[in-house]
Amino acid sequence: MRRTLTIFIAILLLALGSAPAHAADDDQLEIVVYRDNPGQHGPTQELVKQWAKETNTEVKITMAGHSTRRTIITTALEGASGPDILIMANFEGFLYGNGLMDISDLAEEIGKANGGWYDISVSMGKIDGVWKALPIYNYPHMMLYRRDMFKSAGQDVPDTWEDFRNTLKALKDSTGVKATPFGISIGRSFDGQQFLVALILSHGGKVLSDDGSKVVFNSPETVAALKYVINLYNDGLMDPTTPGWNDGTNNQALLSGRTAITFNSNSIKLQAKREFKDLYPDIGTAIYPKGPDKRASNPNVFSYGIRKTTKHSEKAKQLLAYLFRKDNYAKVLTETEGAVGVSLKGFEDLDVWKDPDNATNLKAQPSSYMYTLPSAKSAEIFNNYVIIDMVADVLVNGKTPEEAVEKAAMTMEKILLAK
Amino acid sequence: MSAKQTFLSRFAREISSGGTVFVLPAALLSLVLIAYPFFNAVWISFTNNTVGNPKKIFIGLDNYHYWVTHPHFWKVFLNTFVYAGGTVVFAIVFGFAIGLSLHKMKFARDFWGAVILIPWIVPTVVTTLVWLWMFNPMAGVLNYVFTTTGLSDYGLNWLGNPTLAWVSVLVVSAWRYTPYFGLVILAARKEVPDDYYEVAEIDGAGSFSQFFYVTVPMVWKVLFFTSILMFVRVAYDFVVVYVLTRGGPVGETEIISILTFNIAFDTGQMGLGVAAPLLMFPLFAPMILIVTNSMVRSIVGIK
Repeated sequence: MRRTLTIFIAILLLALGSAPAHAADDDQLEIVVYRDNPGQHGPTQELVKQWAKETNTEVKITMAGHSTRRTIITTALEGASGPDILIMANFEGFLYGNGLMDISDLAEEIGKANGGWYDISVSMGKIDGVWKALPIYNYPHMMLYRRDMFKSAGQDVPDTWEDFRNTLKALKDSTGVKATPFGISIGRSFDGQQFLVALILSHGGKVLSDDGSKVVFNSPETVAALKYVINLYNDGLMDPTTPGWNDGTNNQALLSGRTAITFNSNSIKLQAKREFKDLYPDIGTAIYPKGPDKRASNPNVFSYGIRKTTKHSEKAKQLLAYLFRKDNYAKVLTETEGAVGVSLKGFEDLDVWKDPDNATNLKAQPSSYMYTLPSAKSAEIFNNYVIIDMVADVLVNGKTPEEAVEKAAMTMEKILLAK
Repeated sequence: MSAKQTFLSRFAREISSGGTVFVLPAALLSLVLIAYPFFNAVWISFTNNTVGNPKKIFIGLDNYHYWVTHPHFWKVFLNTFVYAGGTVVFAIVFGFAIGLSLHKMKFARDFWGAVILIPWIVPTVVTTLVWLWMFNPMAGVLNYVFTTTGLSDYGLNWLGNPTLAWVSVLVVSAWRYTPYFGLVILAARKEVPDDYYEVAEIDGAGSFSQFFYVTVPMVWKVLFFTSILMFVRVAYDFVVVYVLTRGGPVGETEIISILTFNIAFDTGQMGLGVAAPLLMFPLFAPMILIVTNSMVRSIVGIK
């Protein structure tokens, strides 16, 4: 009895130790759909289900918000199981490139069918020269403002950053001392970082030299852009609680009338349409103001990729091709009033752009830039909020703008130029 | 019989005994769910592993060297101790208030005992999200009180000011662990004979003296071991800080779990990310060993 039990235990332990490192792949195709504020996930889910029905394929949809998306992707890639189609933001294709499938054939096919990819889409999709991510939406970042407040203050939409500051001053003076005309999350948030990146780029600042060999972020242009934000805050033109805001607070502030302007995607207008119908006509959209060097905004580029270890590669490609079909893409654009932007030139002629507020999403495309050349290290810098932390370094830690920029530049150097 | 044969037969006798069989399921679960992931993580910490990359190249102590020479790591290290220590201290203070109050209650003690457990029972992410709303600069109840009473024009920057951010995360964390300490103290207080208090009263000791010279000495042993275990648990806590501040502003409230998450999941550097919390392990492991050793000794009856 003793010997039998001993042998049994030993075999059990051996069996456990030699178990495969990862679970078997699921039987069904699984896609991660990004749950966003404009509501793109609604029509996307419908399209996926429609495709599943038409092709008689079992598909599982995993909804992922901004804070859970990377965890889901990491788990899927590390565990080689779970979702087959992953949704990535900005430079993440470069972070996860080793775990993604080569989909060059699909990218070429979609590009040919839809008028060609924008340059920004190509830079996000081609990882080390190989298409591994398919940028589906370039959510533009733009100015959202309260038409009613602008009207009562007799103000037009500002065209330059200088006009912007003057407009804020006029708005503040018109509504009394307590008014805080502008607010954007300047803590660790994507909207705040996109805003600051746009300011820096429009002032002529940049991260890398033209040959990509040196970090040139520490420049008078970058300092000027940072000083612009700090001055807005110190001069009472920006809500004093903005260092503690998150990406949702921007929406709340504009919709509640606490602020008159913010920078965001069109999600605020869509939220007004759903929840504050009377306010909806008063939410206006405009492209970013122009800086001394150029007009610039920093979009959020979302891309689909296919897990290299998937057992459903053909089905996954078919589903993605379906989502990129013009009529299906138009459905998403229409239901989000253009908020998701476009990644292909062939979608510029859709009816959704006939509404001037929707058309801002398209107008923002030519001046949309990523903050630097795409790479895994660029993702590391962006995801670690190196740029937006400069604001808190000045306002919270008491550094001068020059010191804050220097610190950010040194961090970038350590990351970007490390071997 | 040789020494080796004696050992093997004794070993076989031990593991096939009835006691071992009963412990086996738990031991196997621990192996699979704790030991394997732990040792796998240790291995990964010695590699340059990144997400999705099947290749793991051994790089020795490079990841550990990176953290030890990185100034921000030591700030995070200190933050972790402040967070864990602050949580435990405040939870004990308020735990005493709750535990002793419950002990004194004559009616509805069970009802209030259950109510007080709510912060402990409700999932942390749910309660922290509620707190996040309370701290909201424009829609939160706290700033509503501050602005409507005229204490502040725009409300306080609960999560954007470094001092207030620390207060906020410590309040929420301590609030979550207070019921646990309250119940531990209640249970320990129940074991203290009432005679001790009668004698103290006869000797002229007031409430404060009875608390410091009778209650505290009688419960401190249980509290000491519980505090150590909770300290280690809170040090690796993630949800409260992540939901409230993400470690901001500018990393002011960043603790080791947030740093690990940021590096491993936000930048995909698994090897580097896993090395950070393992650096704290040599500090916490002896603490756990002291506690478990003392517990085993007191169960077995060894002094």
